Amino acid sequence: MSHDDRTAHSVGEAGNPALRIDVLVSVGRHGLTERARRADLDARALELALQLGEDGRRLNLEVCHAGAPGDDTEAALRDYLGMGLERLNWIHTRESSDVLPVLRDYLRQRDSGSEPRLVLCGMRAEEGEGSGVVPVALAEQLGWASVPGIVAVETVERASDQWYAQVLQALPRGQRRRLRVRLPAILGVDVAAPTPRQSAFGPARRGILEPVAAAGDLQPDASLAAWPLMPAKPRPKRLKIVTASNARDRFKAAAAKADSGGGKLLTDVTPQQGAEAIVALLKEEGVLR
Amino acid sequence: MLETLLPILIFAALALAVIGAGRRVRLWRKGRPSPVPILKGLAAMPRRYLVDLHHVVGRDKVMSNTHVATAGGFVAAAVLMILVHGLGLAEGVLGWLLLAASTCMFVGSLFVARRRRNPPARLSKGPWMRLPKSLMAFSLSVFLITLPTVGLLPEDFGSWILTIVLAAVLVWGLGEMFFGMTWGGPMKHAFAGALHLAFHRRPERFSTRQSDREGKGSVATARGSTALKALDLDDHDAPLGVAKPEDFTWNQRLGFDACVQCGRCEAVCPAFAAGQPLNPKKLIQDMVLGMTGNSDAEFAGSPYPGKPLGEHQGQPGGPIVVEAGGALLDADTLWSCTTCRACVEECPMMIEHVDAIVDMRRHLTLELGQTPGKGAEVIDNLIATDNPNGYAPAARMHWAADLNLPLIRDLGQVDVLLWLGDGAFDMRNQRTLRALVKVLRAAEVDFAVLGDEERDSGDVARRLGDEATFQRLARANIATLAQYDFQTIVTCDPHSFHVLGNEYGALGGDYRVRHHSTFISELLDEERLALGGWKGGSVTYHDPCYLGRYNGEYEAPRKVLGALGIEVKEMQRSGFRSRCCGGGGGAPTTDVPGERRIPDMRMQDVGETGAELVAVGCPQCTAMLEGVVDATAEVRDIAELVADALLAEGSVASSPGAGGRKGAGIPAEEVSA
Repeated sequence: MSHDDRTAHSVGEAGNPALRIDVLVSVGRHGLTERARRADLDARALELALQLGEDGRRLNLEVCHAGAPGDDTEAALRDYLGMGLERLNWIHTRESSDVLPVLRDYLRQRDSGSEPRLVLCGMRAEEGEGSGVVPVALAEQLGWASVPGIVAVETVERASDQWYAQVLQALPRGQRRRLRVRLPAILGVDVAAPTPRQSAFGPARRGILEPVAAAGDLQPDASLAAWPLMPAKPRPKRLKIVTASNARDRFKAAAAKADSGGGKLLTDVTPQQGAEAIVALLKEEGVLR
Repeated sequence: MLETLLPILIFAALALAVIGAGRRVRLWRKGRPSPVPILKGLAAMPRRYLVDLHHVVGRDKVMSNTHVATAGGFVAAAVLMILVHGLGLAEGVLGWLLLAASTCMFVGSLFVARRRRNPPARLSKGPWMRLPKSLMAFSLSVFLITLPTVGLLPEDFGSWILTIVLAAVLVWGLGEMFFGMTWGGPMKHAFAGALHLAFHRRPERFSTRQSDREGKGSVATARGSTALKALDLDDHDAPLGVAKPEDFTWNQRLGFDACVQCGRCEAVCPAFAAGQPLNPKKLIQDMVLGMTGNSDAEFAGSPYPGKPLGEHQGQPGGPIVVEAGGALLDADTLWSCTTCRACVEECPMMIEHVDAIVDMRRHLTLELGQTPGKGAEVIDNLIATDNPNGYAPAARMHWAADLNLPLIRDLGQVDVLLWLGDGAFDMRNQRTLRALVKVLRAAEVDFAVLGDEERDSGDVARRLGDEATFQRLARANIATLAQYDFQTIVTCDPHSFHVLGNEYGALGGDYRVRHHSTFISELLDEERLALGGWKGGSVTYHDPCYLGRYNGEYEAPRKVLGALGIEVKEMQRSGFRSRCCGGGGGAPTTDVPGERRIPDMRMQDVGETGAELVAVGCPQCTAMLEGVVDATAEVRDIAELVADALLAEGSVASSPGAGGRKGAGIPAEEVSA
């Protein structure tokens, strides 16, 4: 737990500047039918943002999508509008464009100065490369903090001229870690975050998809162009053979951690030693050759 | 003295009534427009009242006769009173007729009073308890003031005290009957009810002379008369459903005002019986309160189970449902409804409860995105996969992998298109489908299926309020069906049957649709099926709401069971009074908690007949009734019963389609081959 106990002096409600949130959303694909729809993780990110505004906090919420125009895309974006948004910024790009510089410039342009600022997005897109790198790469280019696996934003407070957010990060097996993040930060929202609210037809139809021009020239996505794409195949699942004869053993087997035999727990090691251990493991597993 | 007083009293009461009527009409007209033929409606009103309304009222003979005497007596007495005492036309027989009319009304009011002595729980109390006294006050005082007029008593009979007492009683009677009729007393039902019949938004519910001549048995189920009305989604200004009382059409509001609070709906409502927070009568009364913006504290009937009176209040232009509660009604009241239509079927005033509920659900789903329970997930699945459980559309035909079912895509033209419904994904319903295929093959029916091209009919989406998804699915299905040439659609799912047959019409799809029980009965008529005798135990039959009340098909299933040699042991509530299984209207999806489960109560009904088997004709009913723990009866679809009784010549050939024979492992279903 890296929970920081220093007493943060929270600003009174009246003098509290609005919390500036950008939610980056993408177009999702249904797993079976490949129909375009809101992406589950991005919808969860939007849900987190909307919930932040429900306890009386002033929000300056903007939602943005960077992508090529198309009917499917429009229908999917309207799913986000249906969650109760009045408008959604749509940076029109080309099919082959790299969204990273576009989003970077978009976020940089909308710098709000002294307001606390959060950027929320799903941890991984359902389309394109789906590498999950966008939030990390954006944070790197903007020089902001990036935290993956977010399930809740608990507080946003000011301490010694800096804004901090206290967030909850999901760890395997339902564990949670409370983190204090300096703002601005890009938070990758985890699948364990609250289920997104239903998208309603009326607001979806009424909402405005605001076309936004990209700040700079559109650049082709070099890595995507170089990659061969093929349909994913379901990965074979390793069968877990449970020989337990009673319910208690079966439960223990079901709840037990996945096979962790052979692992090593390193404590109090230098970063150098840690990195060496990781490289050694990756070589052992054949990831690095 | 009375001679001068009477015309003043009568015309004052009439004038007040007219003013009240104007105010009430203005109140109704605050609703949304709904064009109706005014003169035609008014002209049709007497017939609608005398024939159609009394067809429903007549189910309770005593009450029906009571009403005929009281209402008939009152109408006659009122008209004659105006002539005799108002205009002074006492000549000839008019006075005597007035005596007869008021006597008739008095006798009727005695029966009304008798019913009010120990009123059943479903009846509203409150102001309704004084109604018999008011009726007597009116009829008796009119009778007495007429006695001197016809000369039975001397003109100056009695003292002035008697005259004043008589005048006071008459004022009471006139107040209740004339003033109360348009200012909101119990007699409001007569005024609003008459206009409601004239301007009903489903004129097709009523019989015409022609339909009587053609001998259409059940008028209430004329084609399309039970279909939900489509929303115009192209009109971006039209509200999506009903958010506030003023979003109802004016004639819906008029209909709410027609309610007599007889509580017949309450008595048959499965959700009310299960202790879920719904009472159709209270719902309609809440809609009335919503028009004026009152609290429900004065409501004199049974409250919604678990919701005390006095905690809810509406505003004419305010929201009907707010998330925090306390508005006109709570969302769970709307979501408790199974859309079984028992209330509509019972309502002597022909009020459309289900329409109103779905209208309000539409707002909750389409505008607020507040479909409760698993509703949102079901809708998402329908949008993404065209079936409510999110199965891969390509898996729709997996159940029939070994049946070699012909696809209409390959044939282009067949006699019968077998509509599978979403039951194709359900292992229990797959047994029914296999049985049905076996029956069709035995009768050598030329049929095919749509296969993966079929989508959910949209029934659940529509009843969960998602009209947009319903219309998308319906249009997609209509476009698919338009490519092929077939005579009849046959389905074992009454919900698909209803939606395809009655609700696609408004979107441009007109089909001849048959429920499988109807179709099998037609095959039997044509002697295309040879059936063995019934060797099992006693059998009862459960009428599915969407086959029975929605489509008037009560005969065919019983005929098929009869052809099997089964004598159906009817449940007390069967036919048009059949009790819902709890599976309709998305109720299993929204899953509003109650004290009991609706299917448990229905299985209790089955148990009371002592039947060992309950025959059903609906995948929802099958699922709901089979889900009952410790049931005393087995649940089988009619198709399964027929398939098992087939006297097959080459029985081996069709054995893969032998339905649940192997799966069910039931000893008593040997096929005599």
